[in-house]
Amino acid sequence: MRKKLNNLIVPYVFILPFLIFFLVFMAYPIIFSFIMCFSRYANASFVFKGLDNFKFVLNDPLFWKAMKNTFIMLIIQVPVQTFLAVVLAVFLNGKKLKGRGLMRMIIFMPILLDSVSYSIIFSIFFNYENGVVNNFLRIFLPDGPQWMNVGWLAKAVLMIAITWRWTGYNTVIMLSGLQSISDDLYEAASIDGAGRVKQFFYVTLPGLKQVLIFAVILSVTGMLQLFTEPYLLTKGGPVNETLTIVQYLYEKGFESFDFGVASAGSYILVLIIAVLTWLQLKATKED
Amino acid sequence: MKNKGISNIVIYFFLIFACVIALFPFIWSAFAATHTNTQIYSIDYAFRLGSSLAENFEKLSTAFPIWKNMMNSIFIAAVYTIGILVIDSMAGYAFAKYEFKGKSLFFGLFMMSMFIPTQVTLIPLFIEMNSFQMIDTNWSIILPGFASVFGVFLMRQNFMSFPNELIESARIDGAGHFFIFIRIVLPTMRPALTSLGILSFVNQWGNFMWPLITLHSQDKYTMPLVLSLMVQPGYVTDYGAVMVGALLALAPVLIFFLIFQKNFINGMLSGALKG
Amino acid sequence: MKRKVLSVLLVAASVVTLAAGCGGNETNVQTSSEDGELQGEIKVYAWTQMATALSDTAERFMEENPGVTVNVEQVDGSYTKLLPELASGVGVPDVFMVQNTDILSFVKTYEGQIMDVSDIITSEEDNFVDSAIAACRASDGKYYAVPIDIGPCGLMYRTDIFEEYGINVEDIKTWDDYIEVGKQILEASDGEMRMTGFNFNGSTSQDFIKMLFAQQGGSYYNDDGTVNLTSEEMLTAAEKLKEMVDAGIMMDFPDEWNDRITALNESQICTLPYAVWYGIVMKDSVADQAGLWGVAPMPSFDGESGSVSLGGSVLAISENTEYPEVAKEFVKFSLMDADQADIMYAQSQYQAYKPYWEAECYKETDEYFGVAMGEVFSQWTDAPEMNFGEYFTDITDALSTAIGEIYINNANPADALKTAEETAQAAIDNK
Repeated sequence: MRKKLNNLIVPYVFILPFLIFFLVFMAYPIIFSFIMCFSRYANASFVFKGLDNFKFVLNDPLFWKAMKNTFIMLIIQVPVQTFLAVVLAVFLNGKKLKGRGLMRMIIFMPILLDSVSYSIIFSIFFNYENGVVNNFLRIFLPDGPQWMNVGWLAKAVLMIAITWRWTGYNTVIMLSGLQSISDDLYEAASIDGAGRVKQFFYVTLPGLKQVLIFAVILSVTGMLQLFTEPYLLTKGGPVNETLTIVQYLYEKGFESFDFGVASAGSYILVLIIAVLTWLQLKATKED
Repeated sequence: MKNKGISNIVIYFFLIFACVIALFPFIWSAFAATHTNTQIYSIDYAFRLGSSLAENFEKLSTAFPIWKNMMNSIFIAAVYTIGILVIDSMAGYAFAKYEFKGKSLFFGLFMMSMFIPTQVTLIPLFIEMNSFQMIDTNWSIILPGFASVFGVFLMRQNFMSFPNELIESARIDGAGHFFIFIRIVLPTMRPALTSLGILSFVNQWGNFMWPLITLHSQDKYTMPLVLSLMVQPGYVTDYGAVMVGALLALAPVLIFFLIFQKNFINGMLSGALKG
Repeated sequence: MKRKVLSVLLVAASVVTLAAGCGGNETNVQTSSEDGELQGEIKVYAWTQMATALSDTAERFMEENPGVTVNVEQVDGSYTKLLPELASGVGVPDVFMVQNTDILSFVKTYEGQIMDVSDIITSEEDNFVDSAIAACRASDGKYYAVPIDIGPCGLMYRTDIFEEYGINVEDIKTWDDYIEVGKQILEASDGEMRMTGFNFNGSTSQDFIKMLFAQQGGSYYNDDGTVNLTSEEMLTAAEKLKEMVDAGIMMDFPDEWNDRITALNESQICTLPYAVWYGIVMKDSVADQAGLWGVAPMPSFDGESGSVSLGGSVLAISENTEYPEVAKEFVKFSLMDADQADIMYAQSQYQAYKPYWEAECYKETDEYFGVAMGEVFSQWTDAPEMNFGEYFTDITDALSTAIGEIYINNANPADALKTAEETAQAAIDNK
């Protein structure tokens, strides 16, 4: 009898520490800010405002601009990064490759540089007058571009920076997927006369599916919550061309002091992320 | 055969190019740390050793108690990492190996919280931390981090692959729940724990937004905070000093990574991160 | 049922808030001991040079008042620390620095949290620069902060370069003259030397257009309080600036604060129509050019008075401070006591409290600019008053977009400003 009771309690004991932190530092703040969505919060008190905050956000052209910017960057950056990561991983997986361990390590290293430092370093690289990139381009061209003044160039700078930092991380995730594909499959394919390219499409990619989904979901969620890079690198400029959703929320909350609007916007973002993730999971479950 | 040789050259070329790109900012900033603010922007100095390293460090350390800031960063990241390993492996184990009431409810709730952007919780968290009298302390950074569910999922995924039969037979031999967890299951989880440990350490090390709001006194600041305050708008940035700061901020993570990297990459490779 | 759930949540949420909100106030701490000596500990927020200056005045203040501790903390100028504290009503510093453009919006948004300091100011109204105290006066006629500094502007110029191209600075009376001279220099230098520069895309600074606008005495609001970004003055400012850009005499500073320093150091620009407080930045970051700079009156639109003030900040006191006496005395000591002039002046703070100007340091010749900066700029302190209103952040946000539209995307100034006006108004209406 006692043993049975024990069995009943034990799992709760195991999750208890986490549960406490989760309730106090996650669940409670989430509920709190949910209430803020429907109110004006100032001086430590709520004034009920109904759906006004949502109406404002949905009618604010700036919100849609931020949404558009975020999605443009997401749609370009995530596939490029995922592609690069898969290629790098396949190359790094070669059994006879010399210096494999060292190269793996180096390619993973960018993630170690903290987000503030790397944003600052990239902002120096892409400075118009004196940045490393333009100085390099001027060797071949009359002049380098005004990176921070043209919308798509500023977006490109952000995407380059993010790709630099996260590709290595994704490569290692992909490598973990590759390792779980059995060598027998490659041998069988090779006996059937499949070349390297065919092997990639018929053996490697299907074998990577699970890991690919995981990596893509991580990247998409990360891009949707993009903040530090535009905040420090492009300051949302030029003319809000690199303003991201989270940056918009931050400005509403911490610059215009409108926490209600910021919370309402956050929950719209939550909804989008949830739907996207569900779609991704669903799309991959069907086949 | 010839074909293979060419494609090998392509592969090496591509990989070496990738390595150069990955390393470039590190090397560049190491050189930049030895230059003055004006030299940094000049192409002539890009890969030459300058003579201003000491001066740059001097500027940095007069502006901020930099060793103190470094210790804060290390303390916060270390305590956070240890805490995450303990808390998340316990919770992950329960989700992987036990059936209990409310399991799927909790799991769903945890899952949902992953999609909440951190910005949503900033104001309420701030109010909370304040009522706990924790503002401007290391704990205000460490404790809320424990609510992150990433590690729970990661550990659950790994525990799932641990054979149930082993647990069963240990139980028949009379081993207690915690004995089995600590002595039998956990030791096999070293790769996963290393992965989670490094990721948590690196993540916490780069934590920026939240410390910016809760830490108030200079001697409580963490490294990213120091760096971001040096580039604030309306302020002329001394990039030489910033680069010294960036290198200092990189050093501990790099050392930590180099010590554990073998375990880490193996951990990641053994499928620790598979979702 | 649903409503009930919501109200339960509201109660749960406000419990913490209440628990958090009632510190400090109820403990009625004695702030002075029997013999009238001040006692207590206060926390002060300030940024950049002002933080240094206040740390120095704090030291003197503590020497004179041994029972007092003043902790000055260097914070960032975008209130990242202060706002969550004001929003939650807890942990607010006793004294804090605010931009003069933001103080009234703070008073409005954080109602009841910022102390009415009329008792300090009213008796000395005449001693302050009018435009500076006007920014601290709310619509109820009360003062909610004490002005620190003002930003009288002048035309700083490179004497050596002007000489080289045979330009007499006295010929620059209006902005049109300025453009003419700029073209001459541009031509003579094969397109290398520009007059000055600003951030064309508006995301890192909007100072230049604000300066041109304020100089004409423009107002960001209509009489009924609605936003006005399409006034005569704003359009004139935008178009004049466009003329300068089109003439090629302007450099683009995508990251205004740092790119300007680089341009100065590389001698790519030869003038800087800007505020006096920038002097310390130049001495610090463009140290090599000491002695090469001179100062002249700002160009103007009408050829007469070009006085304008750019920037300037104030000190506010928290309503919930435990030591109101200490806080007030410290603010008075730092900002309304000419004995502190040396400290403030050394940090390039041009005080809004006029008696400071009589101090010796204001009359000493500045080696960098070759004149007594304090004395020279005192002629240019009669800037038009400016009403920043309660929502200036929203106006600045909208204006920054308009600047980018005009100077990067070549939008028609009138259209871009009209859109900005509507955006700002919509944001304000939602509050």
